[in-house]
Amino acid sequence: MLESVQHTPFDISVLKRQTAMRLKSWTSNSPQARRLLINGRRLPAVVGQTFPGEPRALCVGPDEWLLVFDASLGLDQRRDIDHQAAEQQLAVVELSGGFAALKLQGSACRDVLAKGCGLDFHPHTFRTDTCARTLLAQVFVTLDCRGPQEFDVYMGRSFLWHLHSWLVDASLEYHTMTE
Amino acid sequence: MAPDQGKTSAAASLDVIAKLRSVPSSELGHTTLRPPFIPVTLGAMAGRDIGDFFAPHRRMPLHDWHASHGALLQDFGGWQRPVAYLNPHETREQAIRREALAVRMAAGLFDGSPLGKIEIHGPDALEFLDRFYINNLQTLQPGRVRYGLMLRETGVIFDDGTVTPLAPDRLLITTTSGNAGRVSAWLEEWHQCEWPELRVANFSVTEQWATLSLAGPKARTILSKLDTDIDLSAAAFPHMTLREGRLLGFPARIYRVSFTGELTYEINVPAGAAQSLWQALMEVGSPEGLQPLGLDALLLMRLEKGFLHVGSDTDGTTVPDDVGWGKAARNKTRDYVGKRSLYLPENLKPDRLQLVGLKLIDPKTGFMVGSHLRLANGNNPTDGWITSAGHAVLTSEPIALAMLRGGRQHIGAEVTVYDAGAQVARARVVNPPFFDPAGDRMNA
Repeated sequence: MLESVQHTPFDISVLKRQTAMRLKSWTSNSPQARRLLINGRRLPAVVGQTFPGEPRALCVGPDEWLLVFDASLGLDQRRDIDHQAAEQQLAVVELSGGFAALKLQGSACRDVLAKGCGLDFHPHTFRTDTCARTLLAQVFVTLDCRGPQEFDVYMGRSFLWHLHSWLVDASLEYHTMTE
Repeated sequence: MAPDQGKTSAAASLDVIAKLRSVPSSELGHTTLRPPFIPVTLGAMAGRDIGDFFAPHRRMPLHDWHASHGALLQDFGGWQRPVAYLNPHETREQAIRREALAVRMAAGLFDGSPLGKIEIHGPDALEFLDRFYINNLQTLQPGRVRYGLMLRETGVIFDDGTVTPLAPDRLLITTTSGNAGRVSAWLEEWHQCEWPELRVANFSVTEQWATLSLAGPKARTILSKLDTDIDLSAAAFPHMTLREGRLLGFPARIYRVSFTGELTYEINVPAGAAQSLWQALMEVGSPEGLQPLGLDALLLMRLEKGFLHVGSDTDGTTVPDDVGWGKAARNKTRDYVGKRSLYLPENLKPDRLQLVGLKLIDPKTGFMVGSHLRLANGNNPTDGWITSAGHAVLTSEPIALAMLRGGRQHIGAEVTVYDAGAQVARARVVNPPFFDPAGDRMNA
């Protein structure tokens, strides 16, 4: 195993112990859904917008959100989300068991992603704290831009091995460092 | 790109034409030039989708356990799945037979995690799903499980699986493993495009829940050895029901459904708990004869039961009546996707291909999937073909399922079996199942 090295053109690492939840409104264009408070903050209103913090809240589609927590969710916090969601006509499912995430960092991460995805990765277009659901190397993923040179890639856990291998292969020219 | 339009090929073509006409190529002129302007290799067009990356390989939560315990892994819809667990010096056929015998005599543990699982939430969830299945769902109560078929608009069978209300406004459906993504997209498309007024939200939870299927006459004995708050008795937890609770401290959704024809607990736990549960079951089950069960043995046992395997026994023309579900489809008074097409003249013909069982008259040979069938005095080049074949687990008798022209009219008749144009056997048309027709074992 190689150690993680900072400031290389492309670093890739597997993120562990994250909690993920998906929220959807029962009704389309439901403004009340956005009244939901997670840790005192509302959900982003625009598709592709991300609210940073704990949890990280991604608006991944019309009336659809992904919440990513860095740690396990406490029972009280989960109950609070369930309670608020029900009041706002939102459905919630926890996806932590089937959720996997990769962190990509470095000056080449946008170029590597562009090898397997049709989106425009120019920093002016795919900006920090924006997200997109898309296909990467034929795999359905959610891309979460965390900084000019940093992306988190969320996927179903069954694809982790394949996508990790693909990204390492696609980044060979940049002398990848893996953790 | 036609060969005479791209600039690269156009230049070469003009050169050939000029030589044939004995004129300089500059006199010919040219069409409007289009890309590619310079030669492009096939590799550039294929991009990175080559070799190991030609298509995604999906790994189940227990992949490493399977790989380290002799599993022969094969690709099914992108998933790397164990078809059999080979002991040293054992052939695949021997392993399949050993595993199937273990299930019939004691128990087997099958990793069915790729089984499609979709949750439908919202006040209109039941109404929404009732518009897809040929089976009536309006009477389905929480905790009860109903098998159902889902059709395309053409009436052709699209998928099969179960429907279970977890609560009045929260339903869980299962789909075939290979169709999980397509069914999820299908539901979303109909909701967004046709019925946006219905208050529902769909979630694919296939990857969230690992599915471990414990099957066999000793399944209850084995599962009872683990710590759970779910009453596993037949009275409290009968066939075709689902119970939610905790198992080994993990949240669990356990189905009583069966694809092998045996008493079965289909246990769903969060994917991260799969390894602990699998190992615990193997530990307490091994003294009872529990063995890991691969996909081949599972499919052999479902063949014995005559259970439909969508994709094997059906194709792009099969409607419910062809596989014995015509009555259910007709009896449902409410409308559902595909219903109208079931009444088209083509789908009502009495000589449509229908699913039947076959037994060899001379059992020295065996059946092969794909072999064609001819009825006595038939005038057609073919009257159908074998869709599934194998040997009965306990008797080794060759058995098969087949799509036969007007099949149900010919129960008891003889057919001739052909392979690669040559007559290879005679068989008798029978009604499946071949094993435990009353279903006593799976209802135990």
